[in-house]
Amino acid sequence: MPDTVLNSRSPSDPTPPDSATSLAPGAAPARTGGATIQLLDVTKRYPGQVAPAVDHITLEIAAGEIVVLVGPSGCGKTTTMKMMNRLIEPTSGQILIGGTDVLKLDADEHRRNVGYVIQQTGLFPHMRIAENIGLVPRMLGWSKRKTADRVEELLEVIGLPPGDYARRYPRELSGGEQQRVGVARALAADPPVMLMDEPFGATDPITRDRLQNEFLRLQRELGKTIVFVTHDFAEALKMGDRIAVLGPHSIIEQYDTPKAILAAPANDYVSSFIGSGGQLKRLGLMRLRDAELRPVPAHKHFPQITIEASLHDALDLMLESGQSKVLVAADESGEGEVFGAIRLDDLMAAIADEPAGDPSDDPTAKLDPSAGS
Amino acid sequence: MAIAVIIGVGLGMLTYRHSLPSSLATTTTSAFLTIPSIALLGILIGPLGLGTANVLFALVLYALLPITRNTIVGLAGVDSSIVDAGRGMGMSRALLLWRVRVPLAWPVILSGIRVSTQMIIGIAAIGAYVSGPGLGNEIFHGLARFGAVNSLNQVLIGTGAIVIIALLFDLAYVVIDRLTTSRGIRA
Repeated sequence: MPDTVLNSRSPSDPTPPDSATSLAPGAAPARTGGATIQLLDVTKRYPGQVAPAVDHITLEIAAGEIVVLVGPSGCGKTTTMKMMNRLIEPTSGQILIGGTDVLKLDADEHRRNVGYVIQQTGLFPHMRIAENIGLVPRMLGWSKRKTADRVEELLEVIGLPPGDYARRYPRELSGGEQQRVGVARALAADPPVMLMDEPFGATDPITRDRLQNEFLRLQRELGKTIVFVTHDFAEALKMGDRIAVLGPHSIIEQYDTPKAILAAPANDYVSSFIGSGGQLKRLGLMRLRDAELRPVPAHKHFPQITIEASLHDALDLMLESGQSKVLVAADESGEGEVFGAIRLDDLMAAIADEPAGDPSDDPTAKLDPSAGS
Repeated sequence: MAIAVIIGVGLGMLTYRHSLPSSLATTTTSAFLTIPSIALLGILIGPLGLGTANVLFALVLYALLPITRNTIVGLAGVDSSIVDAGRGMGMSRALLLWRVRVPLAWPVILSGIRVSTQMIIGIAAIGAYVSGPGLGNEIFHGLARFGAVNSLNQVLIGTGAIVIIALLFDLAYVVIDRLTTSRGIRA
């Protein structure tokens, strides 16, 4: 695991002093990287229920990664996540964040150092946007000045001009804007760990896609450790550095990179979760940028595709145009530089050749968020 | 009235989280309301004697139900996802109550206070029966010498004044509501 990004800061530590005020304008908001999260043999049993909601889960999440917990409704994925910020107390087992046993910390203290984003945004309707975002920093004892600066900075980061938005109330914002504020609020005190419970579930597909892309871009700068819960496997593929496919009682059926899971599902349960078109989904995760291209052909009457697109997009273009070869260029206009070409059998080879199921795959090779969308 | 607000809201805050104590609180306070006012005032002559203390005590009891019930309903009715978010952000229970639940439940609590006020202004008049202060005295004096000169006028003046006071209070609550409810949740 990349120890360089591992931040050993205890989640109960106070926030770094005056980091917000000393930050140069326009600088990346990243200051605290992620922290590792370890669940050791964690079980949650509700009184009066025979089967445990979460049955002896052991999971290690590397610092700076997005790990998606995906599974059907009622499989215990949300329970698993809520134990990490102790909204639900585990019956047994240990939870370590950055090496600190969170069960020994004060629960409220602990939660202030873990970002939390939920589906219904959970914004306080009676508070202005600025108050909503500034709540955790204020609880942590930041000065008014520093909090205000931080709020302004975050609103810039999420693309809502502070002058316009800071003094509005949540209901005066669109659903997508509210969800962005929800993310900003979770980021406010710069926590090393963020828990996100179907954060984009309540938005329409177009807004969701945009929010996902924005968030992935943000995460590339921030490098937080993120636990992301969803029941949507497509979202899991897109967001996850790693995916934990959960069965009933939060039993891990497979824990691997999206590519590896698509290439080699561990069992029928995982296959059924992937659904049909698993190989097409794999193509969606491969970028033309990473593919080996053929030399530019002599005549360029083939359709063009941007190098930022996925192999899936290339296949789609082949099917659409009826050509078994497309040109890969800087952009689609036909005026940009042409880098090479790719053929139908190259796509097949790509699927056949890709090494499957190696969990030590470089986790930093984050897939392009626009791939396959 | 202020006493009733403090007791009623306090009772609501203490009990809203659990169904048994909260229904106990509502039942008890509504039991008070079923006691006829003349009877209650009469009973209270025993421990409290005649006069202001007696009336005050009775009025507080009557005012409790709407306030307590609205406080409980309001606090418990706050959207659970909002409460969840607050807890997830690390707000303590007390902080959550003061910064989130009470502001969100405030319009409901206030409307309980408003109903209570209307109700006890009417009941207060009967307080004159046990030598309490107020406009009720005009009405009772007028009724006592009914048929005499100006007796009807006296009754009407007492009644009219009570109605006007009630309306003024109601107006005041509308203003208070505007001033104290966050613009973010105003209808």
